[in-house]
Amino acid sequence: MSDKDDHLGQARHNTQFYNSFDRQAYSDWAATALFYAGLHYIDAFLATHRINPGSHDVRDRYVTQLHELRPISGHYFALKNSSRTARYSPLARFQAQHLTDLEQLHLEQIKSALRPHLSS
Amino acid sequence: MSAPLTIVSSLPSHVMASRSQVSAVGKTVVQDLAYVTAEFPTEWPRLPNISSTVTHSLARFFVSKLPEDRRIERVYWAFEGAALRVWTIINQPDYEFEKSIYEAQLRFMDTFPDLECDFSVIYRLGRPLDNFELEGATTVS
Repeated sequence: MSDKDDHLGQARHNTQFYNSFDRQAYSDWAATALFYAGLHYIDAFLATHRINPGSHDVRDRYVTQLHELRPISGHYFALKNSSRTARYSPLARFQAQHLTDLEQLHLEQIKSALRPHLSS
Repeated sequence: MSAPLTIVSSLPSHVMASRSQVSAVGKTVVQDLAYVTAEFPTEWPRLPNISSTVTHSLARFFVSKLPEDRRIERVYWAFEGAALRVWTIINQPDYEFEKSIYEAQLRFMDTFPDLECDFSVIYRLGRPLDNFELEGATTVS
């Protein structure tokens, strides 16, 4: 099972990828990179409790049920829905402001809420 | 050592009591569904009235928790294996508005804690609504 640091490393890797290409030309992939950064912050937290969700359905349950995750569930779902729209419906392209919101509002809220649990 | 995990249950006691009654019914439905689909895997698709009525009722329960707002253009559902999938179509991302949809998701999942479910909000982004008709999915009327 991957541990907390593995997931944090993957979250940073995905964020670096997000910052590495023309985000306006590939806003669909930009949204997807941000979602998978957020997902790995969630999984890093779950790993500290020896939980490996294994699927989106199971992860969603933890996100909605756990005291630490429920307050940020809306931010997680906003990332997930943008990624899902980008991946499964053709020609989905997002405005620059939406990508800014995904990065600076939703992903940042997830990171800041989990930071106290992931700092040790 | 990580802190123990806490399951959220901060609703007032009378709401919790009411919710647990609804949840008990939902749990029974889910258990019955699991039993029927496990025991009669080939017959289950030939029982459209039962399967579609139960799952449609679950989907309608979710829709009843949504705000009455024209920005929600369509809601689809499908039962895939043991999982209820629900897609809510809106045109543009709008987090302030989406909060009300996410709240409906939370209430549904709180009510049916044993039901495997997957909610999606899909953004139409100006594309034709007909492009979003999903194979095998049913529109919630």
